[in-house]
This record gives sequence, structure tokens and C-alpha cells, in this order.
Amino acid sequence: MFPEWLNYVNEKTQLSLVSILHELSHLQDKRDLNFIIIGAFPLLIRGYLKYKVCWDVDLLFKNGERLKQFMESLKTSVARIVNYDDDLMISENITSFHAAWTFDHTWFNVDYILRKNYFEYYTRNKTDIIPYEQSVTLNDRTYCIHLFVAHPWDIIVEKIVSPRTKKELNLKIDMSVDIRHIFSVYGKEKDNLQFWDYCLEKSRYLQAEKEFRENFMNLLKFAKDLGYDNVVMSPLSIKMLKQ
Amino acid sequence: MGFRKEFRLSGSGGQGLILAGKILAEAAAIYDGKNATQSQSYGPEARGGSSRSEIIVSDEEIDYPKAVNIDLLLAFTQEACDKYKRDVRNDGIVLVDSGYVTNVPKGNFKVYSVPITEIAEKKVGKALVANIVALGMMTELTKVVSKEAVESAIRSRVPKGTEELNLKAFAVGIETAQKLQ
Repeated sequence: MFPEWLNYVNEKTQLSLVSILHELSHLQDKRDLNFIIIGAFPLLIRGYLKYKVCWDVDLLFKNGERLKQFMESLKTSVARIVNYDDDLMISENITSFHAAWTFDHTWFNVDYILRKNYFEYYTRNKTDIIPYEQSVTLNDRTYCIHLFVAHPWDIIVEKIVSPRTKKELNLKIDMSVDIRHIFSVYGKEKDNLQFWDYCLEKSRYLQAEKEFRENFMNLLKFAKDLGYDNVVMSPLSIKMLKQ
Repeated sequence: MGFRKEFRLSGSGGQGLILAGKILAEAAAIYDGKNATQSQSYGPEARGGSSRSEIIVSDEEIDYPKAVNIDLLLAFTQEACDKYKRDVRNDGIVLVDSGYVTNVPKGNFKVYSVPITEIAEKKVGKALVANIVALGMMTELTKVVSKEAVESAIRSRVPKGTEELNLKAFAVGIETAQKLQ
């Protein structure tokens, strides 16, 4: 009733976060998904990230219409919500909106995101998205979480082929959040053939298989320069990335 | 009576200001036991254009998480400085990187114009840690969050064994700010 990942959430914001996940469970349309959770959060709840920082919840919406409906529905939500942005922040590849939610005066960032083709990428087939179901008891109250969240391996593929990660690698940025996430997943999955087959297939879907292989190989080669001395390339990784 | 301090870190994407804001908030909330909020916002050219992070630190519950009366504005671009100086409260602090902000604002606030990126490059050997040098300066100038808490937050953000460079950048920031006062 107290999931392990909650230990990596600041004690003061645990209740707010669990309440938000409970609320989002009601707001998510399970039959015709309106949004899924992406970013670091799915990696945290699936046990890949084990350190304490201030986490955000990133919601990726199916389209602008569903985002609009969601924001309308928030008017009846029991959460207190303050919008950081006056309007949607629109750029070439991504549209975002930043808000803070609370149930108890400790605030939690919830970001709403639209990104062309990426909702389809994350929800392409039913095996890609795994519902997260968990009961959490805090302060003698039980909260039920039932949410579709992005598959952690999809998140990693997206990060590996991202130009931002490539740039951070070239600049040897040791504080890169994305690189840390990639190595956290790699450490657990490097000898898992299913992981490699899955990632390569999804990189093809993004038409970025070449970038996936090259960027991942470079990340592994330069892991030590980035401070990840414990990252050791497994024979299977070399085989799969060089194939 | 409790306190509420507001920080706004502004510049362009890639300068690491969002990350610096997160570290400051984590230092306050996780390691100093205070209450803190941190917001991030990107301009129209997300991640390549303007970026802004607002941090509120309080020893009481935070009723409203948006910054409205800035205690410290950090500006890494002229555009950010021009745009956000209006929200700085009387007797607040404006800290600018003089390598990017040449038209220094005037008002009822203290202005520190410091070549932060140049200092990062010369004293730490890496211009990219200018955000951490700035974090050290903000810590020293405001004393809202303890030095130890920020150091812990920095350690938690980098792989074990690579803390040295970032902690050095932080110390350089503290030292630079001490000389200003």
C-alpha cells in the first residue's frame, strides 16, 4: 500500500502527488485514451529511477481537442490548480502548458503537452502501453491509481534519438537528465534481448534507427567521460547496436 | 512571522537555468526542510528560445505558487532582463551576466553585473557550468537556502564521482558573491 517509488518523492509532496494521480485516474478516458503520462514519471514508478528530486507529471495529449476538453473538465476537479502559462506555448515541434496542482498547499507541477505523431508513437499498439494500478494508503486514506502510462522503453528510444541528447553528449553535460535516464534503464535491461528488439523496432517507427544505433553506441562509448564509470557495455548491446 | 522569497531565473534555452532552478528548489524542499515550488516556462521557440524558471521558498505553506514580487532576478540575456525587471520588488536584487546583458537596468533594486559565464570558463574551466556559478552567487546573496543544502542537491543531480567540477563551480559562485558585498 506504500509503493517503493514513493520513497523517492519529497515527503511533503507525497500526498499531493498521490492525490493528483488519483484525480488523473478519473480524468483519463480508458476506452479512448485522451492522454498518457510520459517523461521521467513512468521510469520512476516502474522502478528504474531511485533517487530523490522534485518530479513533474507530464501529460501527452492525443490532440488539441482532447487537451481542450481536459482543461474544461478541470473546472469541476477538486484539485486547486494555478496555471503558470497564460496560453499554450506553441513552437514548431511541441506545444506545452505548465500548471501547478495541489490538494494540500504543497504544489506539484503538471505539464500538458501536444507533440505531433508522438501520441501515436506511444500508443501504437496495446502492448506498448501498460496500465499502472496501485493502491496507496496515506494518512489513513486509500487512493486508487489506475493510469495508462508510457512504456519506459519508448521513453528511452525517444530520448536516445533526440537531438538534445546528442548535443548534451557532445558537450559532455554531466547533469543531463535524459542521459541519466538512459543509463538507468540500460543498466537494468542491457542483457535483455526483448528490450533491444523492442527499441530497434520503435526506432524504425520513428524513422530513426540509424540515429538510435549511433547515438546509443556513442553514449556507451563516452559513458565514463560523463561520469558513469559503472556503465559497462554488454556483449549483447554491441551485437544489437552494430547489427 | 514566516518568510516568502521569490526567484526568477531567465535567459535562453540551453543555458541550464531551468536545471539551476530545480536544484535550488530541491535544496530548499528536500535538504533544508522548507516549502518550495519551481515552475518552468519556455518561450515560443521551446528549448531553443527563451526560458524562465521561478522558485518560491517559504518556511510556511505556499498559498500561491506564482512569483509576483521578485526578490532576486537572474538574467542571462538582455531580452530577459528587459522583460522581467518590472516584477522585481523594491530593495530586491537583479543579477545579470554582463557578457550577455550590457544595458543594465536601473530601479529601486540592487544590480550586480558580473561576467558569470566568463568566470565559469576561467575559474572552473567550463563555460557550461555558468548556471552553477550563478546558483552559488544567488545562494550567497540571498542566504535563503543553506550552502550545504544546495551542495547536497547538486550531488544528487550528477553521477557519483563527478561532483567535483560542479561543486567547484558552486564554490566559485559563493566566493564571487562574497567579494561583491
